[in-house]
Amino acid sequence: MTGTKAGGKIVVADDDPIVLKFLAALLKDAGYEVTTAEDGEKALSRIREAQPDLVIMDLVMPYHDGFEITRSLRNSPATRQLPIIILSMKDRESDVLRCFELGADDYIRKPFNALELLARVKKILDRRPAGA
Amino acid sequence: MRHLLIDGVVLFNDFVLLYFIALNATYLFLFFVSLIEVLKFVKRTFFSDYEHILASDLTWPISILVPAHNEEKTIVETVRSLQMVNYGEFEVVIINDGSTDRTLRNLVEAFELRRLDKVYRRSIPTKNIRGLYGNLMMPNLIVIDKEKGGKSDALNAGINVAKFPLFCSVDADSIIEENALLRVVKPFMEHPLEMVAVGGIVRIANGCSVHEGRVTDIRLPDSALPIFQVVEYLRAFLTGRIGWSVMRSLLIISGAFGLYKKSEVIEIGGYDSSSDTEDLELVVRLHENCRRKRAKYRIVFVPDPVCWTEVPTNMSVLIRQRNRWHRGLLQSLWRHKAILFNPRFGIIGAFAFPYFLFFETLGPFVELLGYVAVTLSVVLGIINWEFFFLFVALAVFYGVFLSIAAILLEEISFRRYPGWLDLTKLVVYGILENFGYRQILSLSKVQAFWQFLRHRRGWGDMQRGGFRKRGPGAAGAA
Amino acid sequence: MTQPFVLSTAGVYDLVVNVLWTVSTVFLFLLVVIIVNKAWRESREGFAERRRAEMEPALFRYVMGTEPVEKFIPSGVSRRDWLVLEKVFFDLLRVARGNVNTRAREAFESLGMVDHYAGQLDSRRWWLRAEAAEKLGLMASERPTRRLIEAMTDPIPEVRIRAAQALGGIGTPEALRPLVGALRDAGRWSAIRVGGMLIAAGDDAVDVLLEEFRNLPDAARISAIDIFGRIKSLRACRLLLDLLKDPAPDLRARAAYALGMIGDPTNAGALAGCLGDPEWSVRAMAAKALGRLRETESVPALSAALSDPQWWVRANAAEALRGKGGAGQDALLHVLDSDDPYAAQQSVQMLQESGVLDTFVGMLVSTAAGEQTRALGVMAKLVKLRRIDLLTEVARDHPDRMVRQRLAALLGLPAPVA
Repeated sequence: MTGTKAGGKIVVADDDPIVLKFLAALLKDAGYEVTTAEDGEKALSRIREAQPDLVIMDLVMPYHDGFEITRSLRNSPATRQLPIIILSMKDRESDVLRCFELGADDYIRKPFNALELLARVKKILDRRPAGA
Repeated sequence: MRHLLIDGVVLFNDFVLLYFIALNATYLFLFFVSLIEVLKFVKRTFFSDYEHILASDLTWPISILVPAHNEEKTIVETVRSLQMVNYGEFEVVIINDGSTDRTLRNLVEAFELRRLDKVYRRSIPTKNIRGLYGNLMMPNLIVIDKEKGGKSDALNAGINVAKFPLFCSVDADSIIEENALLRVVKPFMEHPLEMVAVGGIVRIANGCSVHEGRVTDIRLPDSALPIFQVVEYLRAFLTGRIGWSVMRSLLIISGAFGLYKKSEVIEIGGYDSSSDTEDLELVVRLHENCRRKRAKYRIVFVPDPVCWTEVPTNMSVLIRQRNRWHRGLLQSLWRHKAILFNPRFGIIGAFAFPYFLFFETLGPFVELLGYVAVTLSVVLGIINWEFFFLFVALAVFYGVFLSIAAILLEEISFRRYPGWLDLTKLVVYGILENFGYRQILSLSKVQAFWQFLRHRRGWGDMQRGGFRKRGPGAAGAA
Repeated sequence: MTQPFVLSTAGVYDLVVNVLWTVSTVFLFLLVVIIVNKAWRESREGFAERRRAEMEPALFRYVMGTEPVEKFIPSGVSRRDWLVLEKVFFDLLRVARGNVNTRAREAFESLGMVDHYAGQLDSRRWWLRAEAAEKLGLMASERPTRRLIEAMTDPIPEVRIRAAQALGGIGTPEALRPLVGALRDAGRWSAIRVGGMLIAAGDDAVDVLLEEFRNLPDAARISAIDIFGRIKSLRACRLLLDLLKDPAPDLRARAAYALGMIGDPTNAGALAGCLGDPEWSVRAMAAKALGRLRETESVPALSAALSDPQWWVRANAAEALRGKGGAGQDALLHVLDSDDPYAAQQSVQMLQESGVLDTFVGMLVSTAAGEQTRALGVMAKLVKLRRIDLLTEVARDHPDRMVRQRLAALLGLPAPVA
């Protein structure tokens, strides 16, 4: 659970391989430690294992979708405060609102702007108390 | 006396040969037509433009109709997977057709449904609707609770309540491909005024892993009977349906999945309860109606997989299913016999109908009598080995050729069975199919014919009550 | 003794046997083709995957950096490598925008890919032309615009469609003009498809459409109107308001619908006027459109439309009133007393769907002045109309016992068990 202040552990979950690969490369270059997951099942287990400082995930994934995972992360005391960024192609108002209602911290639409995303990630991870 | 018998057998031999030459020539023709179309299709979609369709607001919204009878175990999962379908605007309409189990209860509990006093147009008469259920938070889900009336009646009720201009009929136990709606709506976007109905390829789910309403791992079934059916379906769809569609005389859209223009179906009075294969009957009537009004119309087949369905693993269940299909085919042929060779019905009257009559209907008889004739010839000591050889080649090996051709088409286009082992299995079973499996099915078709003559109707005694597991409809390329 | 065939001469027999030999040969050939095709394809895919894994990380770094792309590509790249490269960039373009877009486009130019595919538009094989058009679209370079416009007249529909799509992606007025022209050609072009492309081009398309509108035939005008609606173009409102008085009913109806999509409430007055149009399709679309506008001045006109002889007009009017807040609710409640049973039924449905009835159910036990009476009044009307499915259920399940009792009494049901 502790990264250095300038870094941090991130889990990225998406069933689209290009998103996984690109985000992983992007975030690693920016100094973060990245674990990837191709579906909802793997996402949950990676989060449990790695205990990351941030989760970035898609809404539509096999086995468990983003809504479900957000809900279950918020229900568990260990992950209640875990920052979650949703990255999705869905842009209906109802979907976006639902994400925030379930407890996501941010919602980024696909196609996403890489520099913006990095900025948002940085902002969320910098807010962490050091060594927490 | 013996002289007459010998003459008769010889004459029959010649007839059989000519018959099979004609039949196989037709198959070959259909195959080539399909081949060209599949190749064109594959080239056409190397970058799928489904994203454009998804994003386009101009795509018509679709009502998904799901008739359900005693599906308590799977109905909630079915609905959940339908709600996740990849499409812009759509609604899911479940029609609970007088279930005697917890189907309705499970739905109400799972989705927190309440009864609503909705207003809808009774465009088609149906059995009594007891109530409509919905959830204000989920405006795109409606459950209709009605008295038992059978699948046709249930679909008609769904049509009445559905609010969108297109509807697709889906079996409760079919699994829809994620992009199925996008694929079948494409023709409607190309020719919105003319398009009346669209069908797609149905695959066999036996042996595949299914998770939360999605097929996650595609594999061939373990037991022999379903594998035979896999080959058969490949042949029927890839070398049969596509060909018919190209020639504008597609008569069969699978009951497991089809997309229709609601207004056209309402115009012909909806589905017909008195038919054993209401999907075939519907399409024939759609053709008839459109030609009668001299409208420019299209009913096409998209050579793209849309749906997975479970097929019988038990021979007796399979035979019952094929009986029903064949009976339904005969019923529709008889009911619409005016189409035969009628110039007003264009190519359907000139080619499709005669095909179904002379080949699909008569075929099993000729084949079986052919076996009888061969036996008789041996018994009578007049066996003509040339004839025997030719007969076996035409009736049996040709089938092998077609199966292999279909597997090739599958390999170069969709590649849903990518493994070498699976491919080999398919080829082997494609060969074996003609040594027993096909003959049994021909027998069952003959049986169906007698049943039809004696006006026997209905589903017989099925293992699962109510809606039977579906397949491509009556007739495939035999 | 064997009998010869009655009909077969040696010729026919030979022919049939030859055909069968041919068929067997073809069969064996097919088997071989299947196997070879599969093996070849698998090796090709394996190779491509390996190459991709090698090249991809470098390309990611290129995209996020500032140096020219040549630095990130190994020297001596083959044609197959180009395809891998393309795939990586196209995949990226699908999911990312902003700097990724700009850098990808730079790469396409400097690597000569734009020129390559622009040339391929002249290929004699149609699938290569289609591929070229598709990829030029993804690369979104303005340079090949002329050639893409020419490709829109290609004999093969696949090529035409991809060329049109490419032009839609480029989005300059020069590129969009032929798309607008394509709206006319119902034989060669599906209006829905072309419409989709113009919508994707957004505001840029509006200018061209407004310019060309007068020159379009009626059918194409309808497409143009739809497009204005989907783009939600405020600039097109003036034209649309004029069209509300056009002699063609189709145009009036579509213009009304488009104004609804655009959502500007200042158009409500004109739309309310359309509720009196002689054509029912226009009235229905006007009602639908009014439902989408945030205003309440149209409520009286919509209430009147609840008694329209046409089903669709009534349904749309009721749906519209549902979204009109308090004023709409009052109108719907008022209609419960109407002589027109259809209108009354529509209101019941709308009141249910908007949750208003639930509010009234709650008011059955209210202590606030007059609320109980009001609620009872509404319930009584529903009973009279026999729209009591929902109420019956609530009488059974409502958490508040008093509410259940009151409802049961109203509905004439046996008193609920404690």
